[in-house]
Amino acid sequence: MSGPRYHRTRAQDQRLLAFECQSCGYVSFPDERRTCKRCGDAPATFEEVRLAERGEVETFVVQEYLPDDIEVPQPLAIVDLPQADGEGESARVYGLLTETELDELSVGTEVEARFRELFDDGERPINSFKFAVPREVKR
Amino acid sequence: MTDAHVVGSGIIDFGEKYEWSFDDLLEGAYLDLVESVDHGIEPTKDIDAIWYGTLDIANEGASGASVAHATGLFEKPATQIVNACATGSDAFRNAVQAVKAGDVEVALVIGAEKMLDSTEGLIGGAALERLWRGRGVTMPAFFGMRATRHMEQYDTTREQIAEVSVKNHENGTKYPHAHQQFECTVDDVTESATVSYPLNLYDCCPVTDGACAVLVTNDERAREFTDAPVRVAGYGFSTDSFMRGDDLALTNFPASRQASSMAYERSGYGPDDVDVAEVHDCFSITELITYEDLGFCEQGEAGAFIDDGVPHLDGDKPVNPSGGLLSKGHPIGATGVAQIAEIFEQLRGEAGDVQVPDAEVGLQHNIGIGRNATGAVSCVNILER
Amino acid sequence: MVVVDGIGGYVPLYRIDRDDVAAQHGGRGRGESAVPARDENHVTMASEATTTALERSATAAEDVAAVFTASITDPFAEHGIAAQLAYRLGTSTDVRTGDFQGSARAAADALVTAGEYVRATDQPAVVAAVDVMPVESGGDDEATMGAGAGALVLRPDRDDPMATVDAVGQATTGFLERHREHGESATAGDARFERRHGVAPAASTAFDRAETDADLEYGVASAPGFRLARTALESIDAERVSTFNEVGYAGTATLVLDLCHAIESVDAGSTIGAVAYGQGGADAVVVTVGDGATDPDGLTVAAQLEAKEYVPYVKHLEYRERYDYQGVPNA
Repeated sequence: MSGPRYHRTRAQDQRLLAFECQSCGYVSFPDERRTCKRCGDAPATFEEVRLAERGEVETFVVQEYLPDDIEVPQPLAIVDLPQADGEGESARVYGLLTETELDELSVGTEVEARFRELFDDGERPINSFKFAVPREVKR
Repeated sequence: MTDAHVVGSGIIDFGEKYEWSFDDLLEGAYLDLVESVDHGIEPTKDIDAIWYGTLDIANEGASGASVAHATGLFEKPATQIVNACATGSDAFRNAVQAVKAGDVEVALVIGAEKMLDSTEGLIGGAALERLWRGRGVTMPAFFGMRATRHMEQYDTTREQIAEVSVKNHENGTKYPHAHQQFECTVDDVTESATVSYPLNLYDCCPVTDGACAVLVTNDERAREFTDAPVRVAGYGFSTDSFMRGDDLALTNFPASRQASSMAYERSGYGPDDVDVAEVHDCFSITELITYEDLGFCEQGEAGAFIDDGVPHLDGDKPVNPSGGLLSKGHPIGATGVAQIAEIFEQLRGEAGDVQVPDAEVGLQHNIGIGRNATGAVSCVNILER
Repeated sequence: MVVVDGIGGYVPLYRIDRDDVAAQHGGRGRGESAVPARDENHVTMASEATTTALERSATAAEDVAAVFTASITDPFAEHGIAAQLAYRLGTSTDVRTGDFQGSARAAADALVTAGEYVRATDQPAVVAAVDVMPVESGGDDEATMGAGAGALVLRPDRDDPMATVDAVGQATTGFLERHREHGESATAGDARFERRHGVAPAASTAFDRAETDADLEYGVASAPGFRLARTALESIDAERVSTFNEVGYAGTATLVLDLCHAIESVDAGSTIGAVAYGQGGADAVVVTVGDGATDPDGLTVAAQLEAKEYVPYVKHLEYRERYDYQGVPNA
């Protein structure tokens, strides 16, 4: 059990809270630190921003070999998530996809952030975001 | 300040070495080095310090004491270097710096990895219980994402990526220490089982045990060991953020650009001066992208570069004459050291069936770890005859 | 007054064809039942439904004063759903939470309590119901047990709400027949006895007590079987709106999911009578659909019923169970 690990990042993991560098505009996710990963400002001033739950695939793979904990095929993508208020830069995150197949994916595909179970801590489910092509695509 | 020179190397045949313990690997490479130094060596007397590279995947070799134990070289400084898949070449770089600083006269650099004692291997790490940091992600995925984007952005073809594997496997059949000794065709690669779309089985390096060692010394003592020392002309090392993910990191390995720029600047050589290169090809796409990062071709032109046969053994700039990681194998701690050993042999004209004629300047490149930016540690060393 | 500010239903992507269940044991089935994905749980599904409801509402998450959840299949004795959902939504830390359970009436209990809370505090409240019904291979109800979630945002008033809550009524009869231990499939008991002595009197009394002048045009009923649900609506002359043939019985979620489906699909001005039958009695709620329910944003229940993929029989069993992760905890 590692409660503290999941406790301290719960705002990022459950609410897509990100941190915008006030010096260069870089949007840091999920890191919440006092140094900017892009401009190197230290100490940097970060402002909290919420990320939108819809973004665009920048690149992807579909994995076929993984431990049993993860169902295959398991797509993985780098996704640009804009800020929820439409301001500033997007955050570039990488995440697992769910309920999405290879033929539904290409560079530029729109995906939704979906709140899902990633693993458990003891018996306790740890939930955070995966991505998926919008459900309406499945109709 | 003195230069640093490579004056000896030792390697064991890479492969599935179920009969060999981790200590056996280290000892094998060490003994091969001791026996092959041109003018001989008295190891306990001559060697001042050891830089030892291993991730210690087998959990049997942590700390400098492990290498002292395996080689019998006690009562000397022995430093374990751990720097992802660039571990071996960073061990070398550290030894070079100490020799150049004048603090160490003769340094042993040795790298080893026992990959096959665990059936799970690196893939088990994908079950890591970390959000946004590795859960469900494998190395083929980190590198495969660059392949997907490179194909999209630069119209690089699947066949051009496969050709890297075809070339390196052909070279590997001529290199005595390579793990995989077979040739394959572009169709073999594109039709092999999908590991992580778009990469297939033959786009991936095998899981391999191995060890390799090189001897580094200063101007004064180089000719004590050989009449044909190989000078370390330059080195560079750079890192990238795990999470930052710049646009360039979608298709390339920015850290390799910085590391190679440093090495070029220190050596006074540029990409055009490089006669032979051993580069990191954990996956076929890795080598293809690296042509661009090292400046062997323009951005986005790697596909045409290999189509033109430039990196082939008989091309203008042979890359991975040893068969690379794809054929030789990738025992992590040993990988970078083995690349140095091959460049050492190439520049001395001792590379046998894979000898590049008249090679005078050789480049070695070794990267590791992936996330939003992949190849986030990168080491480049340039050697000259 | 209490209005329905936002509604959201969630139906998992995966379905089991009831014919495929029947085929395992000899026989035939009609319709299909919803199966959660392996990476879904009660909190994630409740989150899906509630996110939709809040997006459609005029209520900001930080203004929500209470989050009440209902479930009869939450695997945890201590862990709760409401507080986890509240955090995920981004409510203020002074939010009131409540986890309703123990009877399939729990969704109605949560809904009615939320209505009372809104009336008492003049602040908005969220209600979410979620269930993944356990099944036993070869069990009588294996083919018809479903999974899903539904959510409502209630508030004192709003221009053009999605619906208004006109009346509620309850009948706590103390009738008990069907019962179920944690993680097990249900012991249904005597179905005819349950229908005649459990469902019929409780549902009709609950509707009687929901005092309204309106003519109930549409009926929604939550009960653990098609015939039981039909019986629950016998006392009102209404057209039944149900997801039973597409989702199956989804425990407490069925009341809210079906109510959501009805509000989304019937004309503004229509009145819906909804009844939840469960252990100990039944509750009725009467709502009138408002103009705000016309062409709602986000995926409707109808759209989710269409957007589906079938899973083979083994997955239907496997996906309803919690997965036993191996993990690499300290790597």
